[in-house]
Amino acid sequence: MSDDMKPTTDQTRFEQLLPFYITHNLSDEDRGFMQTYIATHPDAKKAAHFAERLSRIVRNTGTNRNPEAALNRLLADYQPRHRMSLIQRLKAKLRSLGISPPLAIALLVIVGQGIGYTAHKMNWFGTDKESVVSPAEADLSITLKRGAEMGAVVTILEKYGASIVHSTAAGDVQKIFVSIIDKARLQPLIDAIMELGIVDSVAVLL
Amino acid sequence: MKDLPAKELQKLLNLIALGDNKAVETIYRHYQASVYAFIRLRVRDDQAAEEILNDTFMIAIQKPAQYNGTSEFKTWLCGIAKNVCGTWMRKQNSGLARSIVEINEEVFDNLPSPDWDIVSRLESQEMDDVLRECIDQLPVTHKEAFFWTWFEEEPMEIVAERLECPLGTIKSRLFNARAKIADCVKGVFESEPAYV
Repeated sequence: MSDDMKPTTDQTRFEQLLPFYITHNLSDEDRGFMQTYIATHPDAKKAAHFAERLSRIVRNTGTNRNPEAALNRLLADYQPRHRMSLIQRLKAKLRSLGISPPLAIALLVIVGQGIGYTAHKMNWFGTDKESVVSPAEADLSITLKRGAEMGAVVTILEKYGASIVHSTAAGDVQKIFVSIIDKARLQPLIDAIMELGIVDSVAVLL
Repeated sequence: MKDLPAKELQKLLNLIALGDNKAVETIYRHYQASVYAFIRLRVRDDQAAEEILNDTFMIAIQKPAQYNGTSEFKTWLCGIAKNVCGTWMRKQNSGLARSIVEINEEVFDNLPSPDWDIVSRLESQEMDDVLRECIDQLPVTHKEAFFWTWFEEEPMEIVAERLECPLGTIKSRLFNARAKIADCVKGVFESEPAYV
């Protein structure tokens, strides 16, 4: 039989409940019993007085000390010891934002992929796919110098029976693709264009 | 003393991890009295209690992420304090660290009748000093029951849960401790020379 199941005398019940009677942690029924018992037993009143005095001493433990001195010491000890690595600080910062490190890595990957995809779509890096693939009908690719006058180039092209079939621009660099009907006039056309001095390079497309 | 609200506590612990002094101060001010009393009731030495309190908070604020929120923060701090007290007591290895009286954990089979009236015979301050000394002489288990019952003012079910023992043990422990203190007080005055 457990202790709680044993029949108890009123005195035993009183002694068992007394510590919690003092702190007002009893049910209404137990509190009623305690009040009646104390009122009718002079010894119970003395026991209650004794227990109250003990509880006051326990409650007053440490009230005569100076917690400020201890706090100052704690803070003084804390600062020199507190040396966190960059990773630890980053982790702590993320935690303070409610983000766990694995989640942060996942977010970083997603954002990185998003930036990469957008950059590709908007051609941020100037790597226009079409610029490196020549149109099928073009015979020449001509890279013009920055700020080159297109009018002079067009005049030369017309003179040799050639025409622009495609052009690209990446930043300041302009590239044109040229088709010529009479292939025998290809080399004289290249020579004429190079003489203009406004062309960076001319490439024959095979 | 109630725990800080969970959200506020977590925020403070995160700030402490970032090196925030103000957060350390807030946590310290809220818990220091309780943790000090818990320690002081175990070690019987004011100076040592201060040292252990400092070590306890230092451990807590250096590894705030180790608090996982499954228990009350106060309970977690007292757990650290208990370990630090244990280390201190092993280092001391002296009678100071041990209880002076032996108390049988038997329940109320043969209820003694202590002289509860003894405290009314002395002036308040003098008697308080004697009572404090007699409390100090109790075993740690009994002082710990006093702490949770009277300092923290917790219900008996919670005290039993904290001390991991049946309700009956807590009741008998609290009674036996009071009876031993009454004996101790009586012993102090009986050993004094009688002045005429």
